Amino acid sequence: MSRLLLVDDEQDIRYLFKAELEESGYEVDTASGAQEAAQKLQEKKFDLLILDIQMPGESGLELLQQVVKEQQSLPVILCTAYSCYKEDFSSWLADAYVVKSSDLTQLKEEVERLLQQGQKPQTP
Amino acid sequence: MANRATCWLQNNGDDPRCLYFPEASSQAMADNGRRLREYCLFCPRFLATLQSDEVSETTLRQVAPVMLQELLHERSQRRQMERALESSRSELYFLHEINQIIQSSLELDEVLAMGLTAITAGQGFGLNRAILLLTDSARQHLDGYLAVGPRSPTDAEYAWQEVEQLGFSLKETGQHFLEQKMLFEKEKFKDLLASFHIPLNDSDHPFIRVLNEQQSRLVHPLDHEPHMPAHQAETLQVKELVVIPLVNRQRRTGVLLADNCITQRPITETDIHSLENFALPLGLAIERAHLYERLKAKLQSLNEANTRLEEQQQYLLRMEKMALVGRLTSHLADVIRNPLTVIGGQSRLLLKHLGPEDTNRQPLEAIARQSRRLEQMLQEALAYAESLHPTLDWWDLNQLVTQVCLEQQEDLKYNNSSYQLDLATDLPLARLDYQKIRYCLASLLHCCMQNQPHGGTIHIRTRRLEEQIVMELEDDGHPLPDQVIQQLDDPFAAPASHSNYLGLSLCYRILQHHNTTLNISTREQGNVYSICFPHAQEENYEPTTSCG
Repeated sequence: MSRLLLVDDEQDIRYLFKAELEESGYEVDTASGAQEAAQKLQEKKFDLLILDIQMPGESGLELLQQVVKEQQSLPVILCTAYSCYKEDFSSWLADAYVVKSSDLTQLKEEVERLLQQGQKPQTP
Repeated sequence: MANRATCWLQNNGDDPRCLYFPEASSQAMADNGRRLREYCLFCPRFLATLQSDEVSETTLRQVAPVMLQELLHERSQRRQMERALESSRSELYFLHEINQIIQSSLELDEVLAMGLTAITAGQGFGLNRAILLLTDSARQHLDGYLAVGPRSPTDAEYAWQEVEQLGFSLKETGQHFLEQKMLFEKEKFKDLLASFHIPLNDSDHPFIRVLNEQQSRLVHPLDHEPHMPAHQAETLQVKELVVIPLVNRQRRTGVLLADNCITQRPITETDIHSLENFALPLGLAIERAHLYERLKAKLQSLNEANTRLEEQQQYLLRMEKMALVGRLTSHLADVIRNPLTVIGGQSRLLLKHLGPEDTNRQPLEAIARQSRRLEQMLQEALAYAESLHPTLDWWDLNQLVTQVCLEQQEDLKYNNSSYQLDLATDLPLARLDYQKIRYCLASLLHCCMQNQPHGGTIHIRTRRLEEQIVMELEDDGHPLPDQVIQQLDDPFAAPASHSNYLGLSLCYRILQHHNTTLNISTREQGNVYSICFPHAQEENYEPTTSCG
């Protein structure tokens, strides 16, 4: 079973997404901010990261840059309420972007696609 | 020595010396008539002797014809001089008038219309035809520019009759020519003017020789003139013509050709001299008109650049405002969309666990449906706001470079780095996404700084190619590792040790998306980053919202 880490500062969103994704057969862990997520990423191995951009404290894009540097093989989906990520070109480092919606079909499709692609090969 | 009393009458063949005019030549003294006319008449002794008793009637009969002859000769000379004086006065008056006319004008065509009319008009030099050849702007060739005069006897008869009927002054004739005839004359002499495209380095050509030697010349006969191309001599269809150089402070402006192609009246020394006198102010006026035209063009281009700059400043301000609006909208959307997502998502989640007959099903379905509808409306509103903000537009790349360098000054200072700009002055506008290119340029500057950790100078250049504008950055730091350059399109492929070059990789991807490429070349000490943009040509400058 693939293990996902969901990072969002909104508790209700975390609850909804976790329930939906677990129903789809994934093991989902959550974090309410970038710092907590970074800690969990160090402690456990995840197959995919779902990341909100606008969060209090360290933003999702800052965490994304850190992840790209440290865990190059981890696929990242930016899940945001608005396409503001376009303004910051560092969002281009993510593997996929999904605008938040009550219909989670697109998010689930992206999760499935990236997991099927498998982990990116490590450069020797 | 002759008897002093009547020395002016004696034949002093043996001793022609004169006591009173010792400087007179013996030849002049030996000729009685000449001696009397040139010396004795001015001798104080001559008058005294005439008044004395020493002079006989016979003597007076001898002297009187010589004196009468001298008187007539003097009178004839005086008349000639008066005529010459009158002619010079008329010429001076005419030169003054034409000078005033041509010096008061700054327009090239007006100067030329007046100048060439003066050569052919009856009140002017009265020659049949005037042709002007001017050096081109690149100072490579002498080209036919304007000709005035008839092309055939019939044409001449008509033109001269018209001049007589109109009775214009010189100024009026010039004005009439400029306003009503100039275009027609250019067309009439089109073939003749087109046959003169003489390289300025063809120093054997008679016209170029005149220009180089700054010496006017009467070319006669034209068809036998050495080094004169046959087709040019044939086009002119004249036996002789005068070639006058137009030179201004060693600067070769052109040559003036004038001839009597209809009347065949020989061109005189006086004609040439008058034309030479006229050529100097004409050359000055032409040069001044050229300068004025260049100045006008420069001023226009500066005005256009200024207008563009003002427009872009306004546009930048609008962009700043739009960015602010974007941030506010983003915040608002985040605030609204999150609750909507939760409301709609939870209702959907609950619906999944309800049976088809459950009484809660209908209200939950309504909540899910309405929240989805709100989400769609929100999405449409945001998409519309975004579409108002153009992405690709025509920008002054030099302005963008300067702006980014100013923005990065603090980081550059921290890195002990400085920048040196070498920006092309003739740069047209480039089609680009301002935000993206600003980001890329900033990323490249940071990359340069990373390459030279102990500081240094970053050279930033812009230059214009035929269809592109090139922007180049050059650092003098460590050459980039080959692996980084080869794997620019995949930031994840580079090893962790190269993770500092993520910005470069992002820059590469952004430029790819922008339909622009980033080329990197390394040197023993340093790297050169080049980006090429298409520049504005005939297209319009309307901004577009798609990246194309």
